[in-house]
This record gives sequence, C-alpha cells and structure tokens, in this order.
Amino acid sequence: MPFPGGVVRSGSKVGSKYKTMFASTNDAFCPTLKGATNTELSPEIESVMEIVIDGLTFEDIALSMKVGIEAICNLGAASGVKRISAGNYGGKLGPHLFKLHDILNGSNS
Amino acid sequence: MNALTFTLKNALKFSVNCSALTPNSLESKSMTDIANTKVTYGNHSVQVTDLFDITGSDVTHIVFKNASNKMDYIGAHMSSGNITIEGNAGAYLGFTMKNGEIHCTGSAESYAACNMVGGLLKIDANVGDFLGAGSEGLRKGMRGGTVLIKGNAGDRVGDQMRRGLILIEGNVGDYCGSRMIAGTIGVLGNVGTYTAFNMHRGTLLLKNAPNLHATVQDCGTHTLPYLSLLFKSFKKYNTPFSQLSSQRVQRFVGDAAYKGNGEILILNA
Repeated sequence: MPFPGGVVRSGSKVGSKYKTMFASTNDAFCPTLKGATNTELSPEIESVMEIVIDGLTFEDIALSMKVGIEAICNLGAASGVKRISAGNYGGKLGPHLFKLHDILNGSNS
Repeated sequence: MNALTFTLKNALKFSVNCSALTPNSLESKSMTDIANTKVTYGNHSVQVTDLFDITGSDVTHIVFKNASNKMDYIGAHMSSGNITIEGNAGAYLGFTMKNGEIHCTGSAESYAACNMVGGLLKIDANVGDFLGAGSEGLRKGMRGGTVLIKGNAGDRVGDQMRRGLILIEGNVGDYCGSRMIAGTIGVLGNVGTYTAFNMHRGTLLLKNAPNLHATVQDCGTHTLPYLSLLFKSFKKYNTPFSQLSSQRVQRFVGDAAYKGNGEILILNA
C-alpha cells in the first residue's frame, strides 16, 4: 500500500504547476487551504480522509467500495462523517470511472 | 571576574555607535586597549572613556549601565557572549547579530534585530518600528535567532523576515509581517491594520483577531496537531507563550494580492 493503512489526508492530485512534478497537493480537498484555492469542501468540513484502493479487477474494487461506503454510512452522521465523494482527478488518473451511485445501486459495469 | 561594565557618565546629546563594544570585538584587547577604543559620537570619534566609566574585566559578559536610547548598534555583529543593557537601547539593537544573548531591561528604538542571523534578543519593555526587518536596500530581514519582547512593538514587525522567531507579549502596530518571506511571529496583544500585507510565506500566531484586508482569505477553523510541537519549542523561554496549549485555531492565508501562502493563525478560535 502506498500510504500507511491505505488512508491519507487530502492526498495528492495528478499534475502540478511545475512541469517536472507529476503530482502535487490535492488542494481542492485540502481543508486548511479552503480560502486559498477553488475548494470542493463546505465550510464545516475540517478533515478529508482519502482511502486508497488497489485491486486486480474493476468488479473487485467496485465491491470493496460498496462495502466500505455502507460501513461508513452505518456509522451515521453523529460519528462526524459529512459526505462521501470520489476523486476523479479530471479523468487524468486512468480509464476507469467508479460512479458511487451506480456502485451502491449495483448497476455498475 | 566581574562583567565588563560601561556606565554612561552623562546624558548623551548625540547618538553613539556602540558596535565596537561587543564580546567578540573586545576579547583580544587589554583593558588599556578597551579604554582607548574609538566610538562614533555624533559626527566625530571619541574614546570610550570620554563617555563611559569602565569597570570589570570579563569581556564575555558586557553590561551597559544608565543606558540611553541614543546608544545605537549595541551588539552589532555579535557572535558570542552576553550583553546586558540596564536601561534603554537605541536603534539597531542586535544588528546582524550571529550568536550569544542580549538582554535589554528597558525599551529599544527602531530596527532592533535588524538582519539578525542567530542568538537570543530579549527586551523587557517596548520596541520601535521595523523589529526583525532588513536594513534599507536589503531584500531579506531577520534570517535566524529568537526575539522576545515583553512590551509592545511598533509598525512593520518582521518586514521581509526570512527565518527565526519573534514573540511579542504586548501589542504591535500596523503592517505586522509585511513582505514576510518565512519565519514565525507570535503576538499576544492586539495587532494593527494591514497585517500580513504582501506576505509571501511564514506564520503569524495571534491571540486576538486583527482586522484583515480583503486579500487575506479565511480557511476556516481547524485543530492543528503540529502546534503542540511549536508550543513545546517555546517552553525553554520565560514567556507566556510557553503556556499556550490549545491546538484549535482559525487559519487565514495570504496575501493573495502577492500570490502569498503565508498563514495567520488566530488562537482559541
């Protein structure tokens, strides 16, 4: 796993403002940079946990995401979880797109 | 051995340049040579004994008694030893100071810690403008060391500051952290207007929220665990900053007009 436990805060995005650096801080999901960038976060969000998933097939990853999302939802809003999103990185990370609603509906393909 | 003590004989009419009276510049001199040392007083040179009574012989610890705010450049280019100023100090206290410790029991004029590189500067009362700034024409201000101010500071604290730590227990004037490149400034009192003006990087740690200008952006309230390490580094100094413990801060970033990434942290948010 590239990160301890497969979980990383905010993480990195594909690309940067420097041509020799292929990855940089995922500023849109960084809570402490909310005022300094085009953020994807609402004001009450103070932490973003990015879960990195490595898998052999599309179906395995989709199933693991479904199980993970359901486990988080079962914790409830009182646990502090505000929302679940997926990092698309503008399609720069690879050909596969995991659409969360489709995964939860079982209609992913 | 007793500390080498320079006691001012009479009130000064003009400014005197005290840069020659540092531990490292006097360490190889005999007492006769020290007494014959020339200092610039107004627009002419005078012997040290024309202005000061000299007692003691330990050049590693220099004491200025009856010190006045016309005594400029105390501790300039100092690289070792201790200087104690009993009274006020003039401008450019600790100018380009590299190491050692300076303790001023009174107030200091403008440009204290100007171009400072290392060491510890403690001022028990107030300090003038441009604390930790660079001298005219330079693009970088303070480049290292620690400054502790018990009282208030004037305008332009940390102007173009590059590295180091400034802790101020009282209030500061306008343009705090202006053109700051890096380093840390802490203020427990109130801060004037145009804080972080053209700030590039660095950290302002403020107890009270200032009236920030539009190009400093609010990034919300956060709990930042790394602050415990910062507060722990304050423990070795006798300052109320060492009693800080809350990691809860409101974080601002700026100055956006300068594409700056400096951070302003408001404590106890």
